[in-house]
Amino acid sequence: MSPKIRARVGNRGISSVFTAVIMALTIAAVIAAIAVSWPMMKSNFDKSSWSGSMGLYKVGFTYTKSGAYAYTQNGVSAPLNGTPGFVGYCIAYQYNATTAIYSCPSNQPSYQR
Amino acid sequence: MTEPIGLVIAMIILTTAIGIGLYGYWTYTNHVTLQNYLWPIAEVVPYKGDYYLGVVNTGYEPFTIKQIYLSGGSTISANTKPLTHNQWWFTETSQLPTAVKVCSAVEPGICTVVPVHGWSMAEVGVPPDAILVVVNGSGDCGWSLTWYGWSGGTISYDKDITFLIQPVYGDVHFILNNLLGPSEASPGSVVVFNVNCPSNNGLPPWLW
Repeated sequence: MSPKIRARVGNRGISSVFTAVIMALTIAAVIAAIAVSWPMMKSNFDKSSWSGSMGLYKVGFTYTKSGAYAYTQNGVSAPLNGTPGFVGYCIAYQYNATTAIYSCPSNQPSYQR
Repeated sequence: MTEPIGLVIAMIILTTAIGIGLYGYWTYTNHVTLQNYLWPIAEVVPYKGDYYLGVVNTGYEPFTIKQIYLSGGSTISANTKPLTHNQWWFTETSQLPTAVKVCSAVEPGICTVVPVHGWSMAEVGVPPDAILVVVNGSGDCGWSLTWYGWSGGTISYDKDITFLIQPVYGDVHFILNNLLGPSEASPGSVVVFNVNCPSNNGLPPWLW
């Protein structure tokens, strides 16, 4: 084999190794990027789901024999007092005999009032 | 001979670049992930001329409250203890709070700002088998109220009071003494009586 041909075959071999290594690195990088992204993607999904559930979170009020009560749709209830207190994820108090003032996650932001 | 060495150097540079890039990306995703799991909810209600602000941790990632943003443009600094799942923190402010900044208790550099939810008014419901009686404006005299019909009873008192007549499944009628208000009511309704003291009457109801 002449030196020219030998050099050409040698170059082709190096080029193949280079291509193989590049491909391996690329695949490894893509797999690593997906693995690293997964917790973030899950957290984005969880946050959206949480925002959605909070957007529906409401409170209701009713009288019972033992006084006025506040209750939320997930079964949390608490007596309604004349001073603000929490029930579930809402704050509420009795303004007068028939009216309550409350703030819940489903309410508009305060700056939009 | 030089080509394999060049290839090895190129590989090292490339691998290092990818490694640094992945590490940066990993740091960024960790930051975003932790930030996404900060789940504070802030509520405000007006109370006695001030604003009553409450912040609750609805998630499982502990956080501290760092700042409260007010409608006037100013801020209040706060540095609370870490709030864990379902823990509340309350404060009163003279200006309307509009947003709250909380930071992770694990990584204090990771923070989020959330709006404060405003308030609404709602009626306190009356059960369909009850009548809510409200007596307002008691002053120097006692009063009495008697009801009959589907349910019967009497109450004598000298202060404001709110109570339920329950159960009732039809109209009840009222006999009023030192009270102004309706003479009958239906189940599920609210009846309001105002105390109407006659002159020179400071005696309790049983001595009228």
